[in-house]
Amino acid sequence: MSRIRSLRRSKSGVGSVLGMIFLVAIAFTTIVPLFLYVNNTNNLYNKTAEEMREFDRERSLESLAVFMYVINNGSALNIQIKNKCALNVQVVRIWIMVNETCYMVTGIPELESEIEPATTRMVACALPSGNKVLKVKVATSRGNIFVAENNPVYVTGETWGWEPFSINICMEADNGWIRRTVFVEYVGPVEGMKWNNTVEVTQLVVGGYAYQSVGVKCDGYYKIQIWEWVGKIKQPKPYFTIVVSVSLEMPSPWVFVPKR
Amino acid sequence: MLGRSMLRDKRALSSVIGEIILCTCVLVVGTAVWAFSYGYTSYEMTNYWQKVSVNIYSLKERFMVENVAFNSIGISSGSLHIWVYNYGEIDIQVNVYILRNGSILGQDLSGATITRYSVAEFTFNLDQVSTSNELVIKVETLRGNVNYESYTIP
Repeated sequence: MSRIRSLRRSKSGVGSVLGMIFLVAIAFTTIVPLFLYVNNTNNLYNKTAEEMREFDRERSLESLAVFMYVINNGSALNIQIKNKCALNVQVVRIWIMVNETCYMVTGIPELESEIEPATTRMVACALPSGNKVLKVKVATSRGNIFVAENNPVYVTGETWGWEPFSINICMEADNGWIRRTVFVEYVGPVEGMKWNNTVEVTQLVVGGYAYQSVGVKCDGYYKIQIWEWVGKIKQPKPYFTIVVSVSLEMPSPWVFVPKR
Repeated sequence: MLGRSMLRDKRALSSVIGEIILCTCVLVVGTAVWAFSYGYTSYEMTNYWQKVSVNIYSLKERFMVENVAFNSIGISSGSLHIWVYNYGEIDIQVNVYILRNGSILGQDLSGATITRYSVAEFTFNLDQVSTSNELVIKVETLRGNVNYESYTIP
């Protein structure tokens, strides 16, 4: 008791206590907030860096397959965009280079929403008339550019029909007039779809080959049968039969038909 | 009676005054130190944030040369069109340089602003260029990020 009373009576050391209080106050009002602030700022920086790393990772994962094919006798273009990655992809612009003139296509209704994985979007664009060389590329919101797999496409009035796809048949033949009957029939993969076309070919062969292009409606497998004419009589059996695949990757396959 | 005797008693007065002076000094010096510390740390906080925010904004910049086209006017001249796409979250300001074999053929040092998620077109009239010349397009932001693209004149 007497010790406590003597402590209370003693006035020495008040300055030290005050000094200590100031020291603690300075520590808590300046140094600690400074550390907390620096820590928060560093966290924000790290968070941003991590977000951008994730953004770049997603960007590198983006993958689109772009194909184009000319329709309506070369006056329009169909662009097929297939999302090959596991992320939704937003196409923001399509660039169409016609000869050396650039057309920037934006605000396309078909591309307003994101393209989901493993889905395909089709975009149709009008083209100027005349012969032309076409190149197509698309830009995504993540900053990727995907060029069309079949760039460039050469369009001349003679090589393109009204159908989006075609089969080019090159028949080896002796020089002189020839006559053939070409029958093209859709055989799959869509069951129940029936389509066929018969084309009569009468040509004067000069260089050893006759050529005929047959337009087809859609991609798939087509059976081609060719009959030869001898004089005015069509042979009873086709001398050449083949099944050809028409796809977006190969919209106009070539078929070589040797001599009989 | 006790108070009067205490007032009359001058013993230990100097130690009390000394203690008061000491306390006053502690208060004054402590307040000064606290004020200095507070001001200095505030300054350091602001300074640090400015440095880090520059880095953060620099990290957030994303842009690329989306398309390039050349329209010939004469045999050795034409206009070069460059589209720069800002696909980042923040607006950027860019300078554009056209280089051939390291020498500058054209430049745009206006620091044009490209708002986020938008594309901007830059046009350069070039002389003394010919087919198959390879041009290097350098796009540099005012925050120091650089993007290069090469283009061969058709």
